[in-house]
Amino acid sequence: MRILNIKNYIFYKLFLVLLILIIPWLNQTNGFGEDIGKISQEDVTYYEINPCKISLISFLKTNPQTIFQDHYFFRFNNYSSINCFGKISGLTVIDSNFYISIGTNTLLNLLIQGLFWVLLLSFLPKNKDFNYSASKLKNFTIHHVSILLTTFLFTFSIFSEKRYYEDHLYYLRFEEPTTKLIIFFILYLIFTNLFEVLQTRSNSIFNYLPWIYIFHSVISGTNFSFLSSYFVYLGIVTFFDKPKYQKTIKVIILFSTFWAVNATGNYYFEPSKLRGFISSSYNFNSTLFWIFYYFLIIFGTKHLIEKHSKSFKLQLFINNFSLVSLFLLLLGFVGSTFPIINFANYFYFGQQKFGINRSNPLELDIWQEKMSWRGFFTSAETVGELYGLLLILIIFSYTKKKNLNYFEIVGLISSTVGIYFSNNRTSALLVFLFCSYFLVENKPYKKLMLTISSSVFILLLIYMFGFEDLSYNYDFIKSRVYINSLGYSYDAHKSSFVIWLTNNFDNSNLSISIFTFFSVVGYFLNRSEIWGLFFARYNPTFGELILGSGPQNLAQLYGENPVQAPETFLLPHSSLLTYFIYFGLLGNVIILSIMFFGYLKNKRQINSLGKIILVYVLINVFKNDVLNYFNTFLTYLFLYISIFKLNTFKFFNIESKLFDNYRN
Amino acid sequence: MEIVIELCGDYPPGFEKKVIASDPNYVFETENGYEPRELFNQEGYAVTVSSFVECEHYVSGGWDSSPLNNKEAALVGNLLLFVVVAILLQKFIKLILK
Repeated sequence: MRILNIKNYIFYKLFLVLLILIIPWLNQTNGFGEDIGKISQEDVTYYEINPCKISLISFLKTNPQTIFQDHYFFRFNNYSSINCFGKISGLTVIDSNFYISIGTNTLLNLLIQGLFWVLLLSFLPKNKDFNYSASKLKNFTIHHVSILLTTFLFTFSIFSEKRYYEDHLYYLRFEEPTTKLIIFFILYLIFTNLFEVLQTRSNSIFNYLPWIYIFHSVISGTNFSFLSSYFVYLGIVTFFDKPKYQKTIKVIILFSTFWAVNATGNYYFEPSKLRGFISSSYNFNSTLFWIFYYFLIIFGTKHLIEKHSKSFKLQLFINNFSLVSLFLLLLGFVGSTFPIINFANYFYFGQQKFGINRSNPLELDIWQEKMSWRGFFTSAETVGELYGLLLILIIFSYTKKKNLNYFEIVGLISSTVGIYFSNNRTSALLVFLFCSYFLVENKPYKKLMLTISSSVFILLLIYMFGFEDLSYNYDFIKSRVYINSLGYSYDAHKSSFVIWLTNNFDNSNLSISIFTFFSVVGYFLNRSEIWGLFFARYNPTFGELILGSGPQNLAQLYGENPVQAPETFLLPHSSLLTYFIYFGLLGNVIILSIMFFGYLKNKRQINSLGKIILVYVLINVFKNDVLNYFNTFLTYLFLYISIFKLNTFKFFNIESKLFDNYRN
Repeated sequence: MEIVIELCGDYPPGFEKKVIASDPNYVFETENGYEPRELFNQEGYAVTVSSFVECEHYVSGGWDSSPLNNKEAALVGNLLLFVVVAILLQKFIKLILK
C-alpha cells in the first residue's frame, strides 16, 4: 500500500512537471485559433499585425519548419505583459534569419521556473536520519526568520539593480508598494518550498552537485541564481545557530565599509553570459547586496560541508558528474540542431546564455584551426575545464579500483570528446600530466615514468605555444601586456594603472617584477591582449588598489575609464584579475594566505587527488573567469573547503561497495 | 518627451527628429538590438515598433500602451492574490498535517 502511495506521489510530481513543460506555451487569445499565418521570407505581416495573440504551440503547428531549421531563432522577451506570456510577441527577419520573439514575464518566470526546479529537486533522495517535525520545531524561529531575511535580501537585489530590472519587469513601477509586495511574496513562496525540499535532502546536495552544470537555475529576466538562495539561507542560519567566524566578520566589515562608502559612482554592466553571479550596477545598494550575497554563500557552503561531509560519496559524485558530461554534450547537439530545443533549454535549465547555434563541433575557422565548441554550456573554456576535472576524477577512481563502472565509462568517453570539442588545450595537457601521475603513483618505476610524462608535457606545451613564440627576446615578451594596455588606451584617458606602469616599467622593483612575471605567463597563455585591455580599463584609486571595490562587481571597471575596445565584449579571462577588482591587493593577499596556511595546516591529511585538484583549480582561476560563474564557483569552493578542512584520504575515498551496487 | 522615454527608451545620442509625416513612402528600418515594443491607438489597434525612430514617431502621434496597462494592472493584482492565497494555503495544510 505504502509503495503504491509513493508511486502515486511520484506520478503526480511527474504529471506536474509535464504540465509546466506544456501549459505556459498554450496561452492563446480567443478568436485566433484558425488561419494562423505561415511565415516566409517575403511575408511576416501576420505576426506584425497580431502581436501577443498566437500561442507558441499553435505557431509551431502552423510553421513546423521552425522546429529544426537553423535560420530560425526563438528569443525571450521578458519585458512582456502577463497576458502575452507564451505567445508570439514579434517576428523580425534580418538577412535570411528569422528572430521569433516569445513573450515571457519575469514575475511568471519566477513562479514557473522556481516551481519546476523545486519539483525536480524533490526527486533527490531524502535524508534517512532526518526527522522533519522534530528538527523544524527546534529551529522553528531560526528557519522562518532566515527565510524572511533571504527573501528580503533577494527583493532588495531587484531594487538595487533598478536599471537592469527596468528592462525586464513589465509594467511595474519600482516606487510603488505593490511592486515590492508582489516580488517579495513570489520570492517567499518559491524560497519556502525550495528550502524545505532541500533541508530534507541536505545529505544528497554535494553528491548531486555536478547537476548544477545542467540546471544553471538563473531565472529568465533576473540576475540571480535560484539555487544560490539556499546557500544564502544556510549562511543566515549559521549566524543564528552558532555565532562564529568573529574574526572573519570583523575583516569583512572593515572591507565592506570601504566598498559601500566608496560606491559613489553609478555605472552599469550588462551581465551577458555572467548573468546570475555578477552585479549589473555599481552603486551603494547593489554593492551592499553583493557583499551579503557573496559572503553568505561562502558561510552557507562551509556550514553544509561541516554538517554533511560524512554523507559525501566520491563515487556517487563521479557517477553524477559522468552523466552530466554526457548530457552537456547531448543537450548541446540537440539544442544546436533544433532551435526550439535551444529555446526550451534556456528556460527550463535556467541558462545564462543560449546554447551554441553551430551544430558541427569539428568546424574549422578561416585559418583552418579548430574552433572551440561550447555546446550547451556558457563558456567553451570553462566546460573544457569541467571535462578535465572529471577525467582526473575518473582516472583517480580507476587507480583505486582497477576498473571502471558503466557511468565512468560513459563519463570517460564524453569528457574526452568534450574536452576536444571545447578546444581547451591547457586543460587537456594538465589532465595528461595529472592522470599520468595517478597511473604510476604506486609503481616502482614512478620516477622514470614521471620524467617521461613531464618531458612529453613540456614538448606538447612548446608545440602548443608554437616554436615561433619562444624565439622572441625576453624584453619583447615581458612588455606585451603593457604595450597592449597602451594600445587600448586613449591618450587623454589613460587609466591610473597604465600611468603607473608608464612611470615605473623600466625600474626594477618588486611590483614591476611581479607584473613582468605575470606578463610573461600571460604571453604564453595567449592572454597578452585581453590582459592588456584589462589594465587599460583598470583605474583604481589608492584605496581601491588596496581594498578593491566589492565582490562580483565589474560595472566600475567597464564603465569608468573609456578605452579603444574591440567591438566584441571581452571579459578579463582571469579570476585573479577580477578578484583584484573585487578585493584589492590586501584582499588577495589575505585570500592567498588563508589558502597557504590552510594547506600547511592540513597538509598531512590531503591525498594526491586533493593536491592535484588544488593545482588544477588554481591554474584555471589564474587563466579563466571561472569564479564569475555560480556553478563553477560553488564547485571549486566546495572542493577547496573540503580539502583544507577535512581528511581527504577519507573524504575522497572510492567505496568499492557503492561501485559493486551499481555494477549489480 | 517623458512618455517617449518611458515607452521607447532613452533617446539615442545625436537623435534628430525626421519629418516622416510629409514622406508617404518612408520605410522604418529595423534597429539592431532594439527590443520590439507594442503600441496601441485609441481604437485599440496595435503596432509593433522595431526601432527608436519608429517608436518615437508613433508615440508623438498619440499611440501609447494604455489599454494593455489597464489589463496588466488587473492581472498583476490577481497574481498577487494568487500568491498570497497559495502561501496561506500551504501554511494551513502544514498545520493540519502536523
